[in-house]
Amino acid sequence: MRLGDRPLARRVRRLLARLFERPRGRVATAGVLALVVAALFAPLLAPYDPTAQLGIETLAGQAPSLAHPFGTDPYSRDVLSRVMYGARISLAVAVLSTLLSITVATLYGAVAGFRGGRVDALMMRFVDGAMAVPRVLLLLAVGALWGGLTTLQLVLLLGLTQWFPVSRLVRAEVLVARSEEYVTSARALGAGESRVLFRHVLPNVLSPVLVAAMIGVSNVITLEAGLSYLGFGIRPPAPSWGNIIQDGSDQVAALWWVSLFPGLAIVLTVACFTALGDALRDVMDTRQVDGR
Amino acid sequence: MTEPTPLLSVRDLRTYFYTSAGVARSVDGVSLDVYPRETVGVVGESGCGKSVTALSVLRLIRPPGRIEPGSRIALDGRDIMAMDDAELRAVRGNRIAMIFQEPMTALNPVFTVGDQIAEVARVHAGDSRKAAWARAVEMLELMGIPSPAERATQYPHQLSGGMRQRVMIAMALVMHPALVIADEPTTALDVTIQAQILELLARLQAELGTSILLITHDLGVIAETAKRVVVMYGGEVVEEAPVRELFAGAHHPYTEGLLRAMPRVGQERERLAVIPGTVPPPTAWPTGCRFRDRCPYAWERCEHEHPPLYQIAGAHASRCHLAEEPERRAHPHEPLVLQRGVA
Repeated sequence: MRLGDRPLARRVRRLLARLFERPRGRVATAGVLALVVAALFAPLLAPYDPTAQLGIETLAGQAPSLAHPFGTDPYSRDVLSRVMYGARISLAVAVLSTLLSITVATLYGAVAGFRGGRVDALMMRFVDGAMAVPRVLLLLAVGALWGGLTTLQLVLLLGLTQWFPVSRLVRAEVLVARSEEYVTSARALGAGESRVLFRHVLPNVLSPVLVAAMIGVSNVITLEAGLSYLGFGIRPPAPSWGNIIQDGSDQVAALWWVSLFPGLAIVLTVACFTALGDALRDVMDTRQVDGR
Repeated sequence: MTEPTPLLSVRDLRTYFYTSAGVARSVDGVSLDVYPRETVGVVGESGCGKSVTALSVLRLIRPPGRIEPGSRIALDGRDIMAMDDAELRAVRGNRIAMIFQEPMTALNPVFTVGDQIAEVARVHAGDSRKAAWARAVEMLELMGIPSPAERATQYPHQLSGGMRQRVMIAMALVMHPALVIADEPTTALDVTIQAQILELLARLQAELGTSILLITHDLGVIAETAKRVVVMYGGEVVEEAPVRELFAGAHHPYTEGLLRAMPRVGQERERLAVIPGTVPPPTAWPTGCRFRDRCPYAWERCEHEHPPLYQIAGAHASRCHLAEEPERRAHPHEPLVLQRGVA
């Protein structure tokens, strides 16, 4: 049985092959994979329980050593273990809220661009208005009101305030794609409007959306860290990179390692996702790349 | 001549575009018929309304364009203008199919060609994935494509221009439509491929009994394939005739110009004749005859009186006042565009 109906799988395979041809693509992918592995297997890899106080009198605020490569925090918890467990929460929040925002943005932007006219104008004015609201302020207000957030609440909140610019991008791409001749051709062959949109227009605008998603992940990582640092994000003692930095922030000069290592984790993660986004952008312009 | 009822009948088709520059009357009162198993050619230069006519027949005109009320399009006696969306979709790709000019842009770059052909069968015949795929491969084989099963799994950019055009034709013919509208099907191809594609169309027409409405700016293509010709200019039909009659004795000065602009083997001529000037913008058709500024015979009457479609002979009609004052053909002059000194 040889069905040619698995275009997505084949596309993904071609894409990855091209991505790995470039050093930047290889490094970024490796970095992201390493982070994901560290997060996924934190229970196996982490040397200690991230919330266990290992000895408040003997082990509080220890500098990095062989036993505690990232040192311990003022509560005598192992910073390496906390950073690894923090990766789970930070990455999960970033990836889930980005998935949410990308889905909303794609559907919203696609409908606006595809319908055009008054519907489009109204939908886009709403986006303009929403983008005028200062996001961080809104998040802080909600966080303060509810006194800290659960992971799910954080995901929803970040996701639903993240999609506006991406919906603009999708709309613009859909506007271009809908006037392509293959769209007219699909109509001429009897395709209905929803088939035209979902089968002929959307698959052609997914590349820039994927790039936007990578950049979205970086954004959410820093935003979530900021919120948690300020005490409005993930509630302690659950570790997130933001609140680990917070744990060390009172005594940065004395206990620099408590804040430095989660900070480095954030920087590395953002760099990896941004680089991956860039590499994907280079690789995905199907219009200029010819067969292989 | 046995001429039953036409398969496609277009009457007084007017398609206007409401743009910021004014109302573009791109198609302005076109009538034409296509009979079963017949190939009708539509010729004219860019901007004369050929493609818009083609898109109008399937009601594929998008805003700001609109098919004006009073236009009538009928397929097999069924009024296309009165159809709702579902009925229209059942006609498109099924009873009437369309082949586009640019096979690169008319195929979706992210799906395999087999997928795209199979889609038509799935939409109209409700085929299963597997059955539709088998049908797609079969169509590719019918198009004379070597190793069709393998080709079907390839993407448009992996195929040559001629190959892609065959895929377009395969998509159009999956449902064995009664009418195929081919909009410049060979323009983007080089000459040898062009000949192959025309041959393929002719063969398929003979095998499947399809009618073809062939839109082109190339009279050579018309001469090879069509039985009747409709010449369009300025959104109107300016001349209509059986192919032989048209080539033997064109009546309308525009058609004359087109024929003279055609290269011919064995004819010693330093340069090809050109028709001076360009088609006026559809937002501002001249009053009277729309061709008069470029016409070597135009006189006062052409300025004031819009010529009707005069019947010249049996099936030959021409939208030119020369039909009533043939003696004026003896005295050509510089067309107005040249007298005004514009290039």
